[in-house]
Amino acid sequence: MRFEHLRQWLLEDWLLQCNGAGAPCHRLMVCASGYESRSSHWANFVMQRLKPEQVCESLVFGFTDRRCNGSRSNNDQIFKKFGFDIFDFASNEEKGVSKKLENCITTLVASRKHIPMEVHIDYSSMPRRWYCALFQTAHKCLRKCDSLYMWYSGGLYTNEEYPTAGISDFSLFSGQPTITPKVRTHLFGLGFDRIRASAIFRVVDPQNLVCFYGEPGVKSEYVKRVKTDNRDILAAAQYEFSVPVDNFTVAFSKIADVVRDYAQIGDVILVPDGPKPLVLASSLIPYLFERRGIVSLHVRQRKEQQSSALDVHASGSIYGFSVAGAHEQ
Amino acid sequence: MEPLSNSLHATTGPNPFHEAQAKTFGDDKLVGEFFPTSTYLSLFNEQHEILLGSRGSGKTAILRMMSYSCLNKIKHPAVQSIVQQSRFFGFYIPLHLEFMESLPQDSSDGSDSTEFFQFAFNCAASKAFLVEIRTLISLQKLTSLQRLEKEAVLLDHLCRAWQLGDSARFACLEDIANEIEVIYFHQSPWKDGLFTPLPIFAKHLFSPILAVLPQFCRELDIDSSACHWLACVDEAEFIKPAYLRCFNSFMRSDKRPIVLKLATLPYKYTTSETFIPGVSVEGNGNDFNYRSLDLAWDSDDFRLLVDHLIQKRLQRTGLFSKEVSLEEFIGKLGNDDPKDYYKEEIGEDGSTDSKILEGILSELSPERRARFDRIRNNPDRVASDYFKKFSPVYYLRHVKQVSKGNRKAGIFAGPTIIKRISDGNPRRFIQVMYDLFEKARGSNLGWKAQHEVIEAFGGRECERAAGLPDHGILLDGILKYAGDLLNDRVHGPEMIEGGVNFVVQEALLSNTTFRKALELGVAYSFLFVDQKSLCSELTSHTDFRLAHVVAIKYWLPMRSGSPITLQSRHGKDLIRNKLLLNAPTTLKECKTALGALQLDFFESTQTEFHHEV
Repeated sequence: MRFEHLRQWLLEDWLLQCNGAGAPCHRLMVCASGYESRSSHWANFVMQRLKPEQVCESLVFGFTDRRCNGSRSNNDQIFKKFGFDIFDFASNEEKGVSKKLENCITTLVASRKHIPMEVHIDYSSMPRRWYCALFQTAHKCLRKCDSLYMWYSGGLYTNEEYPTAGISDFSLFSGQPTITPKVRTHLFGLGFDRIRASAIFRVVDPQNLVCFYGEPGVKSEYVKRVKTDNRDILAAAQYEFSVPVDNFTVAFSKIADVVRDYAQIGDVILVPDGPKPLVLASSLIPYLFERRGIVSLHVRQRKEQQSSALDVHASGSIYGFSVAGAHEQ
Repeated sequence: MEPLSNSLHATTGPNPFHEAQAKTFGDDKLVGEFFPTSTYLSLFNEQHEILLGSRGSGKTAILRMMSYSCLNKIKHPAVQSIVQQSRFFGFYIPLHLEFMESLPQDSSDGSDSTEFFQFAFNCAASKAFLVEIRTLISLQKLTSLQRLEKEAVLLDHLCRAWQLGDSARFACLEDIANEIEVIYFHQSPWKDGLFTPLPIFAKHLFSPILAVLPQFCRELDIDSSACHWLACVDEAEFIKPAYLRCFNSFMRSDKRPIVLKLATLPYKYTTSETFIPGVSVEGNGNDFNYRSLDLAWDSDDFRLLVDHLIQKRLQRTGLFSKEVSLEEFIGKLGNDDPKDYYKEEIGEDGSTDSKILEGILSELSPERRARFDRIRNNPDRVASDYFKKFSPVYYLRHVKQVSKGNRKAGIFAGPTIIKRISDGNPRRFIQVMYDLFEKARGSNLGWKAQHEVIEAFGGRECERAAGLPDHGILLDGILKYAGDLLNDRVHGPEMIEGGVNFVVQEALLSNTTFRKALELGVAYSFLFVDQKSLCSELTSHTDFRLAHVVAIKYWLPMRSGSPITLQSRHGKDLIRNKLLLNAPTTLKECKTALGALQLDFFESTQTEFHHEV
């Protein structure tokens, strides 16, 4: 799969360009409404600054889980204020949200065949099962003249504990392994989930370990915390590197470069964790190479068992990237 | 004699104990470092075996070294004898997590895709088999031309048996291995019963290999009636229960000359079902045997393995001209007994036998002291009932008491302690050696320095329990609870015969979540159990022992102690059906859940609590 016209954006820059453009564009905004106040941050920011004539279709996925927690009702009110309809799905229903998005894009494309389309997905507070699947679906359905935007607002995290993981939580998200590789290199993305990362490490029991983490973080102390929390895993790594969370294109190409190097000696298994842009980048890399022996393993979050829903507040700039659609039509 | 570790001062080269996993090694490096233990040698037999080994116990190293291409390179006489007999030919089949996860996931237990699993597994097994065939050909005394001719004949057999078309398409066996990859990746998954006729790779396990074995044996001058092909399957903990039925059906149907050696973590081989409803595979040598690969810390095998590892790893530094043993590297005091280190701590005058006995008596309960008065004139009883029983506890109590403040202790030191805390686990041994090596670069590895490293290592290892998968957080909570309770017993106001062994109340074991946490502890060497319980299940008779790294953290004597039972104060019904229904996923949840259980240790002679609280 090729990612054509991959481009980095700051939301303010995009808004400037958008508001200054004269040509019409067909636009779909996709958001999630959950217990994090961050859920509505992007929509709020955009809707207050976008010229009225630029406003367009919307699709908001509400979580059926933890509907009464945190900022959910406030988020719903904000989305309703902008006239956004909310469709509820469980956090593990990635097929449902993908299908909904696919139907929506197909209908919109069919209704205005000659007008380029933009799909904007704010994945700041979506589970990885959703945003990885939504990216895939939108990228596949959109035409080469269309654009897919993925937006992310960094969040403020407390010292909250994160749940563990087990063998049954693993799933292969993308790529295909070879049958009996001579050498396997695991690329671990690290975040704040110390216990989970350690559980993943123990299950996978990596052979050649390479680690990466986001730097700079939303706050400077976040990087230090990631390094401290994961010191055992980092000590076992043959190599470690950092990637910028606020620049998807650089992060994506940096991870891809490392994967390319290690793929020469055997299989490469990406096990992403940490900030969402890095998880997304790691999940998409097997599509970039399109060869056997490069895979991305996802580890399911056990949020349903978490005792408290962590209301993450947005912090700092909103950034994202855009890419052209892959559909040949 | 001065420990050789003193010569490491200010060295800057790589730490030779950095790599703790066989998986990272190439074949030659692994062969160079491998020590054939008696357990390893005994695996060359005709019995299907499920090999149980905790993480880091050396399962991968053992299975890889059973493959003929590695076996053939080991210079050990006992191994060479196996090679010369030409009775066993191993091939190594790793089942990685990502490979297992790439299989169809429509039903979570895999019950409707066993045919596709067999297809995938047979592809992997056939590739592994071809690696060994290439080795066998290369070892034959043939000219290049003869070798090519031999390979051409085998290619022909393979193409006919595996329906690969014209053999002229393939120049060598490696081409066939690549073709298997292509076949596998071009085959879309299917649901059981929807693909007829089944391709040869999708038939029962090992069918492609069995289809060519007679001709191959003939071509390679192997006596097919006397030889066995050992299928060494690694990382079977990732196999879903439905797929395990394929292996059970294979073991039940006795497809000799292929013999299955399947390695997994304890308690991860979860079913005995076969494809035929009501027919189960039977252990105890009927259809297969369970075998433990874990070594006892004080076994000859572990002692020899440790010295072998030390020799090979230190050799790599280029700093030592001769082969170095653990004792020579680390040094030892006297006979390397706890008493020797105690003496060093307390001084000669304070550590005479009479002083020690005096100290023991002063810390016992009044009742025990009264009993002593009755036997004080019987030296044998004094030695067995008081000195031998209480001195290990007393040494720890006393050293801990005098080590408060800035005074550093030096009792967890010496080669025996290092072997003990490794608990027979080669990976744990390499990890603690890594820390000791690092310390030795900066200062002499005296007893206090060793103690400091070992105590820190114990603390760090214990911290890692929470990071174990699934029930790790609960296991961490149980270890902390047990550690604190046992610490209270050992270091409480009156000295008792404390230790690290215990049994667990039946009611607690009937709670699935609690039992799974204990099983996880065994799988990752935080808990040890008797052989019978390891190979079957945990019961109220299971003899549990805390890992010695846990004993280090809580300053517990590494001995059994008087028999005690871990119990909850609640009744069985409440424990089984109402408490701890799910594994806690955060430390906070765990604390609450364990608090609700109200655990405590009771002398095993006491009756269990049966009342509801």
